[in-house]
Amino acid sequence: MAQTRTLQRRIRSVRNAKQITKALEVVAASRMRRVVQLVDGSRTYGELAADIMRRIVANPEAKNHPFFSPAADKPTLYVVITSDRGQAGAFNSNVFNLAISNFKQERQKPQVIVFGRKGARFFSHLSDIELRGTYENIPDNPDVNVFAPLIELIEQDVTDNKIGKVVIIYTQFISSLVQKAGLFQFLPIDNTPQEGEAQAAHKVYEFEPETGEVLDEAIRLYAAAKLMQTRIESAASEHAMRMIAMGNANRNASDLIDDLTLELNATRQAAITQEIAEITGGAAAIAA
Amino acid sequence: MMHFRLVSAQGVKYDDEAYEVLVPTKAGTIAVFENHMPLISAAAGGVVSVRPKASVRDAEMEHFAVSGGVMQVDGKELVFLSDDITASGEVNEKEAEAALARAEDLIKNASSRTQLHEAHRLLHHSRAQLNVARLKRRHHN
Repeated sequence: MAQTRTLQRRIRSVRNAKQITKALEVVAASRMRRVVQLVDGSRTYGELAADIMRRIVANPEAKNHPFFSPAADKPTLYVVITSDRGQAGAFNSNVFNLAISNFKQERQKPQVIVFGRKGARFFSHLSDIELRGTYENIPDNPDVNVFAPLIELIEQDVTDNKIGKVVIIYTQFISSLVQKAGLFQFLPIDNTPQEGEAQAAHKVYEFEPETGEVLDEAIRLYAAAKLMQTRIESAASEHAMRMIAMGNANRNASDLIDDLTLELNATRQAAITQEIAEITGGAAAIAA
Repeated sequence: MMHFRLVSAQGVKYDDEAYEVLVPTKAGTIAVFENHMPLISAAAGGVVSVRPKASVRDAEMEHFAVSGGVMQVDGKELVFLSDDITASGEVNEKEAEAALARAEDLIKNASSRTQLHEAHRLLHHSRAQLNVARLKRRHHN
């Protein structure tokens, strides 16, 4: 009897876990749907901003701005976007692995800024990096102001020649089934023209009111657009991966409940058979 | 005719042919027609007005409140990017007034430069939204 009780207890606990995974799956699915609607818009915005930057870079007037001729042999600043919560499959570990493999190729101590509690915890344990800041509880679709301190820091450090390169590590949202940890080189700006705009990039643009002011505004917009895009894509990926991970966990729990129920029935039946055998055995002994 | 694209982080707000677009830049409002010289400009917070066809009268132009941004013209195409764009149909006059009051409050109590900067942005933007709302009301009355 003792064993059937243990089995019953296990079934009950697995059933509770199943309910929780089911709830998490449903929540993740609805949050994903909400964020996915924003992905396209933020991508268009990010790409147009990058397009304007490429046109600016091609212009001789922009060459003197520190943003377009960053110092070589300076440390790289990594902006890593992770999640606040776990239970999203390999979402965070994919990002960590990509970050670590990039850190290994750095000649100078890499500087890191992290979004998300999971990443904040992970990177605070690493010894050969300089953790410059962590941000937690960032909403899926944040206000632009959230990134203002980071943009100011990047602008300041690039102007002071403290960093030579800025890379964003995030999770690309390819579809609700496919997400990939990816890397975006934010600075220096990649000015190889995209298909179909090869000629446009060579046009000479006027800057108004004056070059410096236009560049500052364009850089701020470009930074905000790219950070926004990578954040929204990461959020969509996080929810998609959590949805799938929780769906799997839910199925596993069902399988486990089935197995345990079979085992429970078998042990209960065995106990009953044994009791009957004992009774008939006892009766036979008395009769004899 | 030229192609006009008005895009914010929330998505594309206008993506179509346009005859004339009035854009608020930091050096004052400029009107952009086809074959404008190639220009990249820092936009000020204000109202972007679009005349889709030459035959459209002033009263029927489309208006958008923008919070600054960057615009780029190359003769055939005008791209305007801004953090925050509100079409005239989406402006809620009461909310914009509340935001304006909040921004004025923030400017008085801002503790850092970043905060002050954002408060000024908010102030300009809510003012622009109010302008858009009033423009619309005036033309419909």
